[in-house]
Amino acid sequence: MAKKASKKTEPSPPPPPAKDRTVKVVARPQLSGVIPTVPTRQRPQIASFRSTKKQLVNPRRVRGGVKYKVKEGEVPKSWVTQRVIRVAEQAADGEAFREGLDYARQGQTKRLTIEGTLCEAVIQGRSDKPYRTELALDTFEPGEQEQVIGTMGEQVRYAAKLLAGELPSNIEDVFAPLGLKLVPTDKGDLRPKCSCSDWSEKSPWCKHAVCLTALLAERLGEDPMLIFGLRGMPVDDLVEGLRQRRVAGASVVGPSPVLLPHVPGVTDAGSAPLEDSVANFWEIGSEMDLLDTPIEPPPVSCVLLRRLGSSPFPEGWFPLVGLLATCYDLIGRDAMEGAGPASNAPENDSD
Amino acid sequence: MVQASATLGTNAVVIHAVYSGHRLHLWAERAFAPAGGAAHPGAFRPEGIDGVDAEVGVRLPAREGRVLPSSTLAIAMGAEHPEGDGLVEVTVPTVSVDPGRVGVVLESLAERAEDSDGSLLLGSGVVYFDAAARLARHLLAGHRFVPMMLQDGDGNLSASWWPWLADEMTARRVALLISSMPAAARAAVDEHAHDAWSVTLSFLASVTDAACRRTLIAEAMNDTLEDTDPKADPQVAWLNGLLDSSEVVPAPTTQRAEITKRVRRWIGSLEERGESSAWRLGFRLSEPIADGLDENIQQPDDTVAWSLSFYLESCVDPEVVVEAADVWLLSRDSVVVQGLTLDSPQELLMAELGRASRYDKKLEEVLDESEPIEILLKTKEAYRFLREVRPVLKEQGFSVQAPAWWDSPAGRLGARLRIESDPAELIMQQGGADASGPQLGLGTLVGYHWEIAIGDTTLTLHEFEQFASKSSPLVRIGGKWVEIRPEDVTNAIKFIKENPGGEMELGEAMRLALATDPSQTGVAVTGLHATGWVASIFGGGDSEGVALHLPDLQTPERFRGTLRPYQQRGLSWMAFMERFGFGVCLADDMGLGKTVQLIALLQHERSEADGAVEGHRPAPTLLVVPMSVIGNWVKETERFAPELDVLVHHGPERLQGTLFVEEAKKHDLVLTTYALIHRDRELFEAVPWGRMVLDEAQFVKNPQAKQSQAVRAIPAPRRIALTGTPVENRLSELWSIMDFLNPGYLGPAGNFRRKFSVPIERHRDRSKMDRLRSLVRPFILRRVKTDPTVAADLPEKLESREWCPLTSEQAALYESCVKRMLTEVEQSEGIHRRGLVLAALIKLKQICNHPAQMLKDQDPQAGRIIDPSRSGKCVRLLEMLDEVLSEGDQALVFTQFRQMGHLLSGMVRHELGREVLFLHGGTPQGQRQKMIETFQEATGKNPILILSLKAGGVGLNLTAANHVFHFDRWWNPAVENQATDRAFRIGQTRTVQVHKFVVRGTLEERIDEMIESKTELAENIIGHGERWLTELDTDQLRDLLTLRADAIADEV
Repeated sequence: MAKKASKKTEPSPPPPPAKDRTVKVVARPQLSGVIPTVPTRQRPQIASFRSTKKQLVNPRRVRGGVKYKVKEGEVPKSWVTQRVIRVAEQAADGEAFREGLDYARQGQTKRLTIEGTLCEAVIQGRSDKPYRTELALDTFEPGEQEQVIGTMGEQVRYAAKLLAGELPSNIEDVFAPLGLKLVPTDKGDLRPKCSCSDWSEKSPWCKHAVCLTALLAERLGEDPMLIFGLRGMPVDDLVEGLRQRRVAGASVVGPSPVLLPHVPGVTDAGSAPLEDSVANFWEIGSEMDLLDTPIEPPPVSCVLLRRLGSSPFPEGWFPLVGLLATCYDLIGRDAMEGAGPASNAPENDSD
Repeated sequence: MVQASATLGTNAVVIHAVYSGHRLHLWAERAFAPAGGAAHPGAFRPEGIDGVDAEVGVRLPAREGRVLPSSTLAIAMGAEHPEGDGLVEVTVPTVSVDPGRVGVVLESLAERAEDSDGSLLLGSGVVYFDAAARLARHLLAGHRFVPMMLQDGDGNLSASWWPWLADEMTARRVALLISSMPAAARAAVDEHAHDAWSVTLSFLASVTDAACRRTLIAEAMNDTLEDTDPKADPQVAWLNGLLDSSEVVPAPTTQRAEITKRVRRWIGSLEERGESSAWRLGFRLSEPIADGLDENIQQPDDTVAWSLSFYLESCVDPEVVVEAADVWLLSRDSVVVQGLTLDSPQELLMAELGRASRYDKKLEEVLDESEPIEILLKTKEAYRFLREVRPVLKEQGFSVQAPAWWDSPAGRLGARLRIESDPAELIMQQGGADASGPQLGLGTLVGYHWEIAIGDTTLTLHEFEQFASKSSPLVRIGGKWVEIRPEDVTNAIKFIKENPGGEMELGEAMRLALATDPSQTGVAVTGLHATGWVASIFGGGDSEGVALHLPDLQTPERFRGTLRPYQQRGLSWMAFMERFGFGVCLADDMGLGKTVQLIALLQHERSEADGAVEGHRPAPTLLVVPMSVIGNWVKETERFAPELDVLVHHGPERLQGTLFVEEAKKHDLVLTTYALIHRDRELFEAVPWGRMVLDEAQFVKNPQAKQSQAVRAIPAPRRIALTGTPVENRLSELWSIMDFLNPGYLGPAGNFRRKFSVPIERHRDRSKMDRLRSLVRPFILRRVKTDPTVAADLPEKLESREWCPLTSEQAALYESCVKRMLTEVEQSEGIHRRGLVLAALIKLKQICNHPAQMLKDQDPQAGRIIDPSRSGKCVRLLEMLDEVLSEGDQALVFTQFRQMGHLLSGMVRHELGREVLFLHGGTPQGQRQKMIETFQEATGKNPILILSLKAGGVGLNLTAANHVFHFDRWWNPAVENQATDRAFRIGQTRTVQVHKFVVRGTLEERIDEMIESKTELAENIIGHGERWLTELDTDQLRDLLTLRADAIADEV
């Protein structure tokens, strides 16, 4: 049932931060005279470490490594982080857990890759060569994915939250009835693999595994959508699936837009049930007094079009952007003039 | 306002709105008897609305399964609004409005409501969708919409114009709109499931799309697609659904998936604004270092280097900034800057520069550098960056700092009006106190010419013409950089050549200088540059608020009292402005003493005239007041300036014909009412007035009303308006008052409405508001109690009496009551007599309050409307409460009678449209506490608390009030003071104003006089309640109670 995706694609530069569900952080050793590189032209640098035979008490320090930022004794902010870190706490023995967290906090991780279903890190321990550590999760079969989308699509709440990049904390309610789990909560849900000598099939929870789990937990807290990728259903597919489903289910309402942007302070607010408003049913909120709607031209014309840049269909021959610019100017002009030709036009259009 | 008839409520119609099925539905509601059933018993289909008949199911508040009237209707009826116990679904007949017509329909509906005098009211749903429609228009004008792709259940594609709401400023507006949404606007039973956002988004989207299509169809934009094949180019397919009435996107089925994906990515890029990060990239454009630069540079100079430097700015605290130069010195890992953690600063800087380079090719260059700190721009590039790139970067979530002059309007090129006039002192000396009145005013011809100004620098036409051919947009003049757009130069030169200067009326000049629309002139008009007296009144330069250097007038010698310092300033200002022929409005807050300032002005004028020629009397002043304050004026004039001769022109006995004209000339002040100003207009026009004054000038707020026309028509060289309401915020009132003061200054009413009222009131257009303010500000003096200079002059407690008249109904009742009582007491003795007297006293008090209180012929609890115009006191109270509300203050109203409290609550609800709290002896303790808390929270929702409690309930702390009204009197100062002290307690930070109501000519006035005189009798009264009255003999009673002649207010 579990299958591993092996798809690996390089993100095209520059990576748009919000949409890209890939985490790739490379530690760059700080050597004098080395010029920091531009991320868009990343060349992973291999550090030349002095070799030494002696086993060290402390791991070799890594400069600029990936760090787990939650301090000792601090409770992680995100519920996702909390849950995932607890997996490691339960699975690893006390010593490995403590050391693993220390590794994570000190930044022993030279490279962390969370991409698609892959969660992998290069972690520097005491020996010369860093270890390669990996975490595997069960992925959802295509049939299961469809079921997930189906269940979520029925609940507008989930769809709205997910489209806004948030993971509702009761999300498991969707998965549990299907016999599935989204966020790992016990040791069977995460399967570590490590190139260190402590690791074995029987006791896979070495300190490096803990270290990687902590980093993963933190990343998931920052971008919970990554979990869908790890489960083999990239968030793009999920959103498209949800949208398609909404489109299919809402044929009475008619067509729905391909993108419903998140409006801060609005889409995530929700409104009270109508029943709760009996006492002030007819009252308009005082916020109305603060609402100004000056009829002004934009600071530069077609400002949104400028932000959109060139056409999404570069292969097309029609000058889309140029024509849209004309449309913006005409529409803006009519709105400035108020009634304008719009209200004088005969009543034959729209609807 | 308040005198409005009491029949309004019963015929009132409220229009409601819901949005459903992509159309706005309007329905009307009128008074109805409660009934069950599936249809709303009070709903009907409104007439005269452009749309299609329909029906909609709505869920509305109900009690025991029966739908309740809306609170809008209930308040209009003056009835208490019953609380619902749930919702019930009913159908209402509607007119459904096409999305493309929504704006027009709502606008005309708003006008109809305004002109209806209260018989047509707009429900909160209409107000809401009107605001939403305005927001849609705001977004259209600001190009805040995007072409959108949609897909239906079968996978078919369609296109739509969609409002773009995700940007910060827009999202803030949308959030305000949505959080103000009344439940009534989402009451429709449909697929939106009463969700505020869903309803609002759908409304905005349909209105936006309809407006865009109208324009594009009118412009025949679809013609550009002729001979194109939508199958060959998805762009063409998309445009097919955008440019015409058809929304269909005729793309081949096989392309659909790719098209939706690409469009989603494309539009989604607008959301990538680096917001997830705690830090953002900033740009700072700095002008070239001045050393070695010429003072004046007009040519693009390639050697001049502008620096565009980078920095990281904390999103938490924008004050915390790390320069790019420092970023490269920092640890790459994580640093803490002023307590804020900054992770991987170097990577962040580069990644963000990469993101920014998408919007400007020039920025791509920095990506080749290893440790970029800044790039250098040539002047032309700097200009392009400021004009075109900066707004885009800012919107994509970057911080971009421009040199200060770039955003400052002072640095702009514009035309400035220069006016030359004689020094003010010269005029003051010439003036003297001539009866013919001042010579100047807004009609004065003044010499003017136009100047070209850039910031503070003025240029000659010749100097300026040099720019026309050779300047680059950024030039350096006098050591300062300024933006000069080539088209501005051409327009300015054209403008100056077409307007060579000469003479024009001052009012015209003011309008040109302060309120010109740049879109009409093609060049910005940056203000007024005046010399002489014009400068001393309106300021010499274009900077606002130039302090007026007034010659200080002292309190007139014969004035019996002391003017507070701010009152002296008010007196000086009125005298000064009058001298130059300007009509002025004194708009001080209620209680600051507008009356005494005017009395002092009259006295000052009289003593000046007297000083010039012995016994000379200035031409009389005509003072128009609401009936309810005649008594006040008479009393106050007697008190402060007894030597002034006052003629009250009022009542059936008033003088007529030449008799009046001759008498008027012999008096200093002639008092009359708004009702008579129209009726006796010819009489007033025959008198050579020296001045005309409107008290409570908001009475002329309706420019079409006959009294408003009359006050404008009666000739008087000096004109003053007194009002306590913030006139600047009520535009039709402002126009009407200004047109009385300075006729023609604000132009015809229709123009004014189009130019100012609509943009300001409907769209809250701040720049229009600012323009209007700068036009009227010189003529309005408004001090509020909280002004530090005023507050310092005010005592903690200001006490005043309000002398109110009786209506003829009240007078008749009063007289018959006194008569009956006197006959009865003559025939009785002892306890019986005492009982009779006490009963009669209570009746008389009730009559003074309101006839209905004694007759019990109007019961507010039975849903009847109480007519305040039957009582002089009620009229005055409502007028004063209206002012209290308009100042945002809160008030306590004390009455001895619970019944009166009910009457007053009904009247306030109906006349002022506000909910009222009413606390009386029968209010249960829990409810009492809740009321007090509500009142003390001072949210503005319940600003009036009526109390009917002995001593106002000892222990109550009501410091949220700063006005205390004693509607009727206890005849016991100690009891009244205890009541007053509810507001005047620890925690009170403002001046408390105490208003004691006294009805003139009645026992109220006589007892008040006795208390004030502090005679022995008065001493005896205190602490003994009203018992002493019962001991008086019949003659004494007759003397005390008999109605005096001047008590009655009705005019016949």
